[in-house]
Amino acid sequence: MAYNILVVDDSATVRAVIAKSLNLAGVDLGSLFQAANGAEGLEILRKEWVDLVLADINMPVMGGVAMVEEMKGDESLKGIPVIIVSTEGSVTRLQGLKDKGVSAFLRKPFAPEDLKRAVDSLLKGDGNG
Amino acid sequence: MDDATAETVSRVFREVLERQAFIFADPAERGCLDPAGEGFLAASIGFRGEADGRVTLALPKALADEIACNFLGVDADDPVVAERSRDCFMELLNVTCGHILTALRGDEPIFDLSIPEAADVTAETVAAWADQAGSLVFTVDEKPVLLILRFASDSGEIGNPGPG
Repeated sequence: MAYNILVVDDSATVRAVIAKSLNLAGVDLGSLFQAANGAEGLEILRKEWVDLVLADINMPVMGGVAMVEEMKGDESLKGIPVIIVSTEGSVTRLQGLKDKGVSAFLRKPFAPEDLKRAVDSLLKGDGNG
Repeated sequence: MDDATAETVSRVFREVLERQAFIFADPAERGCLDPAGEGFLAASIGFRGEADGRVTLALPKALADEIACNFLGVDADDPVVAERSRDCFMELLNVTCGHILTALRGDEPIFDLSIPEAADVTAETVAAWADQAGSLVFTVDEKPVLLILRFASDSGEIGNPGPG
């Protein structure tokens, strides 16, 4: 089954690297949507079918946390899993994000297999999530 | 920067560079920074939280291109290298800063990082920065790299030195 994935990061380079990693990891991709901030991400989520969101935390206009909060307040979006892909290393902040509804975390730098493990754990249910 | 901090920062930077760009760095002496050398790219990122400060990274533009090639997984002559070299460099700094803070302060404190800023600087400028406190010098493929970690408590301000 092919999955539609949305990548939200203000760096076009990071979005390109995540896209490449998804391909290298052999993730079965349907459509890959890209957004430069949380507001653009929400716009795409309200127009397109998305199975999974990969998002950064720090972005101009709207960050990843605000985007997740908006998603959790929207009946049509709150069930979409979100993986935060970030340099964040604070367990305090990560727990706070989990409390807000974030499904999983991936710390940069990551290998394609790390990304695949995180994606599979949420979309196929095999892993710790 | 005391010896233990310098050792931790050095280890973290080399690990991040290796994992993100598949490139190896070796600690070096400040003398390897030739003030008459080729132009550098410098970038700086601020952090606020349990401690406030700034991390600055400077390296020759040719090395920034090499890092971009490896990070993006493209050939050196791919036009995307020139287009994305600066962005890749800022991402390297962003990841380095996050890992330095965790290594030095543990995984409990929350830090807010600024958006990195980059600028072209001369080799002479970088050589002068290396004389200041908090500086660590490395070589990567015989090219010099300067990393500066400054806490606000060291100088009473954030952002000195660096392009930010």
